[in-house]
Amino acid sequence: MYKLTGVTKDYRKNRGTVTALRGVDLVIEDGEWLAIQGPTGHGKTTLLQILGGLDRPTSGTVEFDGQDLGAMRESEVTKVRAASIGFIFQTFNLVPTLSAQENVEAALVPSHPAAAQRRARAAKALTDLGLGDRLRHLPSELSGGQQQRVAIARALVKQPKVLLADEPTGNLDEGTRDEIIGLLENLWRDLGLTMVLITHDSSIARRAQRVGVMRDGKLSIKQDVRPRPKAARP
Amino acid sequence: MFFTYLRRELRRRMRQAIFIASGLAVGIGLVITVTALSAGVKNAQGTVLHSLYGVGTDVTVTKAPSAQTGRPSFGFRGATGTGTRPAAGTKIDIDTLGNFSLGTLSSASVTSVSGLHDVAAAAGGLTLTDTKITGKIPAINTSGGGGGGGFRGAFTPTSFSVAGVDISQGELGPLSSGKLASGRTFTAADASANVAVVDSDYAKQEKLKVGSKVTIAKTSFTVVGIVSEPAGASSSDVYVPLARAQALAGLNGKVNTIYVAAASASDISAVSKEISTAMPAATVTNSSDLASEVTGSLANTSSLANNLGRWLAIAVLAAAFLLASLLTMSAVSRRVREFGTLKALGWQSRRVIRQVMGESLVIGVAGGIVGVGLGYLGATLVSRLSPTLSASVGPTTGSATPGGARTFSGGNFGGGRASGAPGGGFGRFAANAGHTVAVHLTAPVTLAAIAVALALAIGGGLIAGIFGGWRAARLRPAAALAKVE
Repeated sequence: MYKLTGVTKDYRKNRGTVTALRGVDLVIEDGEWLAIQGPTGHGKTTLLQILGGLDRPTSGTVEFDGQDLGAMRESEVTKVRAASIGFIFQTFNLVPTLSAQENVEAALVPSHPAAAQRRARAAKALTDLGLGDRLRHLPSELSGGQQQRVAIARALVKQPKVLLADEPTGNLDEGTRDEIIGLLENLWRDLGLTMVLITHDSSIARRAQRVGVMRDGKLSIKQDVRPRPKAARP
Repeated sequence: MFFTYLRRELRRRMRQAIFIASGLAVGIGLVITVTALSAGVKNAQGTVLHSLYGVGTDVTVTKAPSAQTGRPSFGFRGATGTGTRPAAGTKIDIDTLGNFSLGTLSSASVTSVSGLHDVAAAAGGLTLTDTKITGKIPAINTSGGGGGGGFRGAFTPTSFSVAGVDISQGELGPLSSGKLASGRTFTAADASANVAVVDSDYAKQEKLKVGSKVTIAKTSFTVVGIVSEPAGASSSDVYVPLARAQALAGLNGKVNTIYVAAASASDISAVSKEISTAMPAATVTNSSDLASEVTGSLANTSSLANNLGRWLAIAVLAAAFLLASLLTMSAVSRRVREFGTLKALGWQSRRVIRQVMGESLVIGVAGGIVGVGLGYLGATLVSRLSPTLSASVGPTTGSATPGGARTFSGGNFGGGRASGAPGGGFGRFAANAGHTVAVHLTAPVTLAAIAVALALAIGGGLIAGIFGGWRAARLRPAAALAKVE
């Protein structure tokens, strides 16, 4: 799925340069769940953004299904993102003026399905996540857990190959956290997703197959701690 | 999705949207009002020029008066005790028709002008003044000073203007802008007849009607028609056939105004030049020259509308555009994370830009529609509240007199047609009478103005959208997502 070779990322800040990633080498197999931990400001989110094509490496290559994301034009990377990559954010990042269903529909807009089909798919995705009765609710009318479930539905409605989650439970209470992680784990297993999840929570990281630790822009991977899922991608 | 998102977003920031739209609306409203006012002023100027100039006449040719012209002589002026002074008690009954304001041109000049290239027709005319003085020569007290006052008060001077009309060129000349109110106008058979057409105002003042008699230079003329001139037009009081006017004024073979029609409107300037070349001593005037000489509150309003109004509208519109652009960019800045998320979902930059521009465009259109309403309101208020404006053609220097506009006005000759004019004074009716026309100003809103205003509003929305879209397009999704709200 992913093959990162010598990826570095420098940011210009004021008059200096900050190096967020330092020669990261990483291979992520199809259907793998990789958890990444590490202190704040040590490059976890930068790595996730480079995996998602939201940012480009300063040097090194990021291959996704054999394509070098760093060498592709922005519009092409956007197409890859629209078709194959789902994002979940710590702060949910729902569009506040759109209802739950419309937020999910927004993820389908780039693939141009008919409006009726788009609405139906969004409604099904939300219903599958237990939000069938909240389709027309605005984000502000939903709880944190419900908002994150809307965000998960939005990430998965286009049936991506990869799910990239940046501290998806960071803003949730303990009960909701377990509920969301349980949901993600089931989806990973049932849908055969490749999942990269950033978390500060070791109990969540332990549920992944592999755990990587980012420190000072360098990534160290612990070997498999869990067997790979048996369920194939539908 | 586009419209749903657009509608929801505008609803979310309704106050700001209303604020931006209001700014655009005020700008657009001002543009429409000022444009309507300008159009109204132009119409008013057209009315004035039409009144002063006459229909069908494109160019007039006149000549500055000679030293003898402009001050009438009645044959008895002189110092007390001279031999020319009639004896005290002598009855005076003078009625002369004279050319006091313009120099004369030969009738052959009319033929010359009509033969010029680009000239469709030319007609000669005479603009004259009939002056009547009646009374008795008073006894002069030679021992006391200031006897002139007693002499002057012994007479009753009256005057009215008389125009000689070239009947063979009915479409041109001093009668061209008049409308027949009763009776008939001249026919070819009237060329040498003692018949007259009288201006309706003068007819009312003198209680004349068709069939009445009017005396010109002690010659009785039968009134065959009453004409009314456009509001404020500088009509003559009485119109007679040119040949009769020439004979009575002792100006056989002479005219003092040549009325010229150009072959087309675009030829007017060329015709003016041709005539100036052919007749270097003559004064050639066309409507543009006359327009530049129009003064008074109409000219002030024109200046106000064209300068202050236009710049005010441009300033307000520019401020509205700037405000709309800044607020749109500000709104985009506040939605950085939102747009970053949409880009992360796979929305291309152009789709995000389209969304931002769509929102701005709707605000612009809303502002434009409200602005058109405001513009209508402003134009209506201008039409209803504006006072009647006046326009004046400056005092004559004895030069151009289009359509007789600057001919000597009888009122200045004490007790003539214009009531309340300074009385008495033979020397007062020099050729320096100006002409003032009162015009009610309207502010017509044209479809073209509305179209331009709406285009401006949409343009304003697009400009704001371009700035906002440019801001949105420059967002890197990673940076956008990293931004903490």
